[in-house]
Amino acid sequence: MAGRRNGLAVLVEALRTWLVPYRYGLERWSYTLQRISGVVITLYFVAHIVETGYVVGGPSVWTIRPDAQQYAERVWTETIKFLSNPLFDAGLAIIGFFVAFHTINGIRLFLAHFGWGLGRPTRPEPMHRPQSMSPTQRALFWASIAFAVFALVYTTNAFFGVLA
Amino acid sequence: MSGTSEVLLRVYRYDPSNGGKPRYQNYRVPTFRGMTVLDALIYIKENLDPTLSIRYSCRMASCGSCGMTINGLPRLACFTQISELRSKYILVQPLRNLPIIKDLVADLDEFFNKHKLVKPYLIRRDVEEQENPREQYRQSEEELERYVQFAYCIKCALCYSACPVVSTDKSFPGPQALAQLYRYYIDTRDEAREERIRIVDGAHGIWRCHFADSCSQVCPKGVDPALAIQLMRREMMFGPSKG
Amino acid sequence: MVSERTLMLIHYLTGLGILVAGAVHIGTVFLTAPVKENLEFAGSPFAVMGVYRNAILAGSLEALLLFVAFHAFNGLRVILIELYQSPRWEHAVTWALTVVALLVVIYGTRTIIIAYSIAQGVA
Repeated sequence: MAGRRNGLAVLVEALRTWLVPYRYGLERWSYTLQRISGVVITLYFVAHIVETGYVVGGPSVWTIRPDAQQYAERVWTETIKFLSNPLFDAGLAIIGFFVAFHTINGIRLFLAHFGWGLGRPTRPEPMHRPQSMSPTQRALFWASIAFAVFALVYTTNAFFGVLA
Repeated sequence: MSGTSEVLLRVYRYDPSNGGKPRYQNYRVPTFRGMTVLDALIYIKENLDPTLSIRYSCRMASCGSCGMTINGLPRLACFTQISELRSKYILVQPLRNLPIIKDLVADLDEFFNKHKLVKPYLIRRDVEEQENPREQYRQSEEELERYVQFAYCIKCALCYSACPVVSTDKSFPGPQALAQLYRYYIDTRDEAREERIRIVDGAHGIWRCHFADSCSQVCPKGVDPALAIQLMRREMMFGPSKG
Repeated sequence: MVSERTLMLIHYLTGLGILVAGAVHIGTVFLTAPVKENLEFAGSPFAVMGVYRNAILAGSLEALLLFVAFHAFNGLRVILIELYQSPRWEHAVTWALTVVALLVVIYGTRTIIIAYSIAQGVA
């Protein structure tokens, strides 16, 4: 806790506060999950753009190839072969979980950041429960978790047929 | 004091004049009914180890001096009973996100400077009125209710210590300062709305709050800084509310 | 430079935009065209590309690309400027991410345009 802030110390401190939401309540968990899911979805997004780019010719081709259809067919088959392994399937299932969570929790944060769905200021009595943890906010948080779990189950089932 | 049960306090020790290596020291303290963590620390200082440094004053959660990290959460030592922790082992550390002066005493300069930054006082456009106020300002009950919750703040820095943004972004004003900004912004007697908005409208201003709500979680007075920040953000996005 | 307030307003608006365009994307690609029965895309790529035959759907995909690129890279910028503070660092982060985002948008747009043209030919 004491001492000068060097680069590594800053990074360790950052990861500690961002990734360890323990003890601070649900909203801190939502903060951590929103951050992790945002970064993971960004990585998936870039990978998805790169991957689909290959189907129409890869980075070197900027016109429509004469053999575009055959080419697309071939690359598509190769890509499918490359991607059809349990590791990518599991990754997609996790992406599904994160996208679903980020969506609903994003709506919750959108509402909260504009002061909607929060309580009004009151005179706090002892053992006061903050209005920023309003039932609406809590319900939306649990909705985001529920939707994310549903997406996880749905994709896992689609890839691995666990429910069949 | 019955002295029948004991609690083990593991206390953070750090003395910059003495090598400056942080370490932990264990103390066994007999407990009594209603004993607070502050009582235990005073017991240590009086009976076991006079070199322990602590800062406290009122012992009744109204001065905000004895904020520290108790079992991982920022709390007021005088407002935390040993029984409510439900543990025979208590870890006592200084507040996070702040420099340490010695042992459990955190340096609050940075915190108070950010409080000053948001101009926590009423501003009148009329300079003469500002310097020598003569008028009496009347407020309705409803107008009072808009900010009175945020005026309960005792500047104990618990929210500042809990905030995940402050821990890495040292330019972020922190929950306490932003809540006080809203408290004066929404006060009908204040006339400096544009100025107040300008203070926190930067890349390291109010937009860096991500509503992790840890500040409201740890506030011992129920101030709910997170609510104030979101309401302030609404004012900044949609323009000032009426009144 | 664009003010932080404007950037965050666009961040919220693109978030809402992704909600709409993303729903269209998932709806068309996953639920209608190729993968009604299986999720393995085992058939022809033109099942997916067939989606692009429709100019409105292709346009909504382009919109999704723009929205996600801004939302994602602005999010990364927020994380990185919260991590460490110095004018040089913030400047570098902002410019580097702008360049990467632009590259992704250009590359993705190319994919959409070519796929649209191929789909027209296939039809």
